[in-house]
Amino acid sequence: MKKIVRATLAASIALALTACNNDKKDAPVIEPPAPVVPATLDISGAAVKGALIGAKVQIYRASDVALATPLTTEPADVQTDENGDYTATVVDASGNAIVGALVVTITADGDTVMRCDAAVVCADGTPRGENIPNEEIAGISMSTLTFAAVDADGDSIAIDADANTFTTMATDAVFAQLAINTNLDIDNLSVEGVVALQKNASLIVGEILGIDLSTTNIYDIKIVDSTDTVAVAAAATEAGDSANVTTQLTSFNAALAVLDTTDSTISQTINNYVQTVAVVSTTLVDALAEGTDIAIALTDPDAVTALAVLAPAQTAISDEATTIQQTVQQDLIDDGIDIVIEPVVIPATVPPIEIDLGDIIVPTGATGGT
Amino acid sequence: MKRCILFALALLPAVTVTAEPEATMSFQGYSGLINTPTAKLFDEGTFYLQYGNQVETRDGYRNGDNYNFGIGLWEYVEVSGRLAEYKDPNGGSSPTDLSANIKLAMPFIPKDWFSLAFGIQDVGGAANFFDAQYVVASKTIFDDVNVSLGLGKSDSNQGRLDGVFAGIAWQPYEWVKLSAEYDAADTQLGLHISSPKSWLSSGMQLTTDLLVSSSNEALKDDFYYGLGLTIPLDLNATDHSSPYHEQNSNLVHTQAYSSSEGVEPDVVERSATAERLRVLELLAKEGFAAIEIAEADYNTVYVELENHVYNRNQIDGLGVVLGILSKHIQHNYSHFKLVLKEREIPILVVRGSLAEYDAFLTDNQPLKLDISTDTFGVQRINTSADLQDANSSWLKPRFTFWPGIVSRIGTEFGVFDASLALISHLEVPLWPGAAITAQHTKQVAETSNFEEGEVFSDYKQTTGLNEYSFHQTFSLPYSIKNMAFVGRYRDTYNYLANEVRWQSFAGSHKVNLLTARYENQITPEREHYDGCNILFLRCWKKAEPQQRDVIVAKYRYYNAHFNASAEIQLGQYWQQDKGVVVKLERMFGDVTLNLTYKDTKVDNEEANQFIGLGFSIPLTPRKDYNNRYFQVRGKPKWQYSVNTLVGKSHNNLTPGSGDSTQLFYNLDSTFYNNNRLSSEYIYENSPRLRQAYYQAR
Repeated sequence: MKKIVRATLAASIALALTACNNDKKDAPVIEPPAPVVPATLDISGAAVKGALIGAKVQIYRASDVALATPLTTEPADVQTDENGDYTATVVDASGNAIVGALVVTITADGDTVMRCDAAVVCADGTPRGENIPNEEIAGISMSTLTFAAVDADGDSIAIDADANTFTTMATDAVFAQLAINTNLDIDNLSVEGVVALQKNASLIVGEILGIDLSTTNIYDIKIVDSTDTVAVAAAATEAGDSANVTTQLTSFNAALAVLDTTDSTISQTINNYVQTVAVVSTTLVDALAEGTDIAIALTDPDAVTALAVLAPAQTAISDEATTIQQTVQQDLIDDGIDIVIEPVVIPATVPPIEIDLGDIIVPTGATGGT
Repeated sequence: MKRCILFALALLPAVTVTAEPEATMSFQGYSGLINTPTAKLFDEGTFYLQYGNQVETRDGYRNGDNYNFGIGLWEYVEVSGRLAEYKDPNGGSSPTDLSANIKLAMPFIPKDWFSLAFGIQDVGGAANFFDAQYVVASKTIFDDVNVSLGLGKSDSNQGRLDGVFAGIAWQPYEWVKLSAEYDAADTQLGLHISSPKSWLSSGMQLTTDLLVSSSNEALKDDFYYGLGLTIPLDLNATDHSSPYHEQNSNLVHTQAYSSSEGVEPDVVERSATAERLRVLELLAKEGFAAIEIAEADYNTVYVELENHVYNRNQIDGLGVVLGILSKHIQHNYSHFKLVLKEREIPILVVRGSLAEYDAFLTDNQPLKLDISTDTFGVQRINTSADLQDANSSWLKPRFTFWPGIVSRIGTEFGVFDASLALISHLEVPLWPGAAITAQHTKQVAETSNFEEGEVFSDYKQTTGLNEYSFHQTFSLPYSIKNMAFVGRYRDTYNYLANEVRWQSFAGSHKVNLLTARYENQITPEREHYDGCNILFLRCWKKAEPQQRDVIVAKYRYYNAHFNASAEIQLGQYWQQDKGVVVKLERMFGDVTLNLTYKDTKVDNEEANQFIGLGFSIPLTPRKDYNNRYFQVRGKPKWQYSVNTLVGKSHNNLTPGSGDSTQLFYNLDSTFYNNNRLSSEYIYENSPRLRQAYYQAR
């Protein structure tokens, strides 16, 4: 037995020594590193106030709250088409998959026009369905927040991200949440976390505008150009249980086109409206995050001023939204589309704001351990 | 059912044998009758456990789950607790309630006069809906009848204990007691039945309590009962772990010890060397390690050794060694000097007369030993004629296993939730005073609320190597020992620590000072609590400090007369909370019961106060398994405690306060027998020296 063991050991050592005696001819070939394949993410959507045509599209990390460093896209200069739609491919040269929260901004530049989607005529006198000239809408900006993920194979999942005035106001509210609660690391939040912030933003914006969005994520609602009857019909059909909310948001979004533009342009008016809502939403977000009374928070002078500005606009929007709903219904009938849009009233006066984001459940009892 | 019970009760007078009524547990948890207390307290050192289905709510009595437990801490002190689950009759969620009671008896009153006690129900805590204070007097008449009269003030909506109450108990047999009471609002009749003490081992008893009748409408509608168990806590007297205990225990009566152990005839024993050699063999056979035997002077035999076999309590090992010495060194030496060591560090020196100790063993004479833990320099023996044993402890791995439990009690989510794990601890001795240790956790089971994504999931025990350390211990003059240790702690923290410990001559006073610095090797992500909106700032857990400094000073006073200790800790703890922890511990043999109070505060946060109730039991035999190459054992002092927040309008779960980060391998446990290595303790427990020699081997 011992002889067998010794013989085996000797053979093993001999083989090992032989293996050590490598000739240069047998030196391993060092293969050149494989070229890095850039990661890509396809993203598409629409810019809908009325359809925003020829507007500039840029995509950012959501953590880039100053929107200072747009991500590289293919093509480099992405523009919306004649329907307000866009398609872009985000490219990451490092090859790392593009995942996490992204913000898409769509800004009217020097050649952008916007289709008038008011019931009859927009604030500048452009009739419904006609393009509002560039000087009236240049500078108007809309944004949306979306989430990029990869599939089981590690390939990016294409994203559909529409931007409208509601996603813009909600995205401002998301940014406000990131600002007040620095624990929220948006780049590393899960999709569930991002959706939670979107829902918070939806609820808050809805309360400011008098629309019940307590069970709605604004980012999931398909808002279309109200002058596009085919799109309106499709959106109404797909909305299902959210049909009323879709109707409210679509008509509200369109009604902004009639806000008083005395001494300003449509773009300035709409941008100011969105920023005024952001003042209130930021006040609410801060109060909710810190657990303080929102009624007291809304007595802040900035919030009081903002609410005073929003009140008359709300009345105008309410009237116009009702008319738009009627117009859209008539357009559908005229086009022979057999869909009934249930009229949904937007309150002329916003009810007192009450927001319940749930409680912090701290279990009571006793702890035990070894 | 109730008619049958009443019929049975009617027959009792015909067959009575007198027995003084014993203390039994009421449905409320304290000792008493049905719902009222008596002045008779729980038996000292006996643990009472009861499940009952009578719960009291703000709306009245109803059927639910009631878990009561109580203990007689001393003759005049009892504590008890209750964990109630108020089943919603409409099928909704079932709130729970954890409460504590305390009852004190008045000493110095002659027993044939009467007994007087006062107590508090539902002490401390947040929602005290059943708070009651009472005073009650009891007197036994006709040998088997006990009458009680009391006065109480109560928050009970039923009016229970809110005024004058009274009761009478008649115990015709040891196993049956009939009770009638007026609880200041209602009148009840109850029956208590217990199994005779001789039925179960260790003096345990099963009990049953039945509510026979009540004037309360709610109590008339259902069948209310309690099932219980009483357990004497000092089980050593009947715990014969050794298969040889019967043989050994006979020796005390027959005086035939020498021949039974095969001691050589006198002609051999007359040689001092042979006598020492024989003792060496016997000690080695017992499993003692690092044995050295020599001649300290011409009439004193010197023995030093390590005990790693009687790990439950070193006093057992001491009893066995002293017994062997006194029985087998009878010709050449009159005295002995014994040095107990741990990792070659002397921890106890015992000097005495062999004859006097033999008299203590065989004639019940008083123990006369000179015992000291001031062991610095005691090993310097002046002889070259020593004998050494081959039972070396170097590099011999010792595995210790115990269950680890993290639990939540009486929460909105359940009566009891727990995460259970098997903890494995490895200890490898190196050179004198040095050892390396490692601790592994194996997650075993958990209740649903500890599962991933559930409310307590953050606190579940996870599988992995949690700790590993190197320890170096030094012995210093004046009974001071110092342990420096370095390693990995709680998965991700590298640490450097030092503990110094001083003990007074007799062991009544002890001081420890632990200083440690922990540095996290990872940057933990901020986490939020489950079930709350992540926008809320309060939904996010505090950022874990990258570096933690722990400085804890402890002072402990041990009183042998009360067989109890009081310890106060001051310092900065694991969660960087600063404050005080007070612990009162009562020993019943190797079982202890403890009450704790914590008051700690993290900078810029509210202070938190806690009260806690805990116990410790040995989870290892008196004599552990041991072989030449390794040892497997359980934990000598396995502790479990329950703590709850007090002094606030809520009792939110607040785990982790006052955590002194003590490792399993520390000075108290490894070098001081879990604070039971002192002359005071040994003298107080001297019968155990004798019992260990005759019965524990």
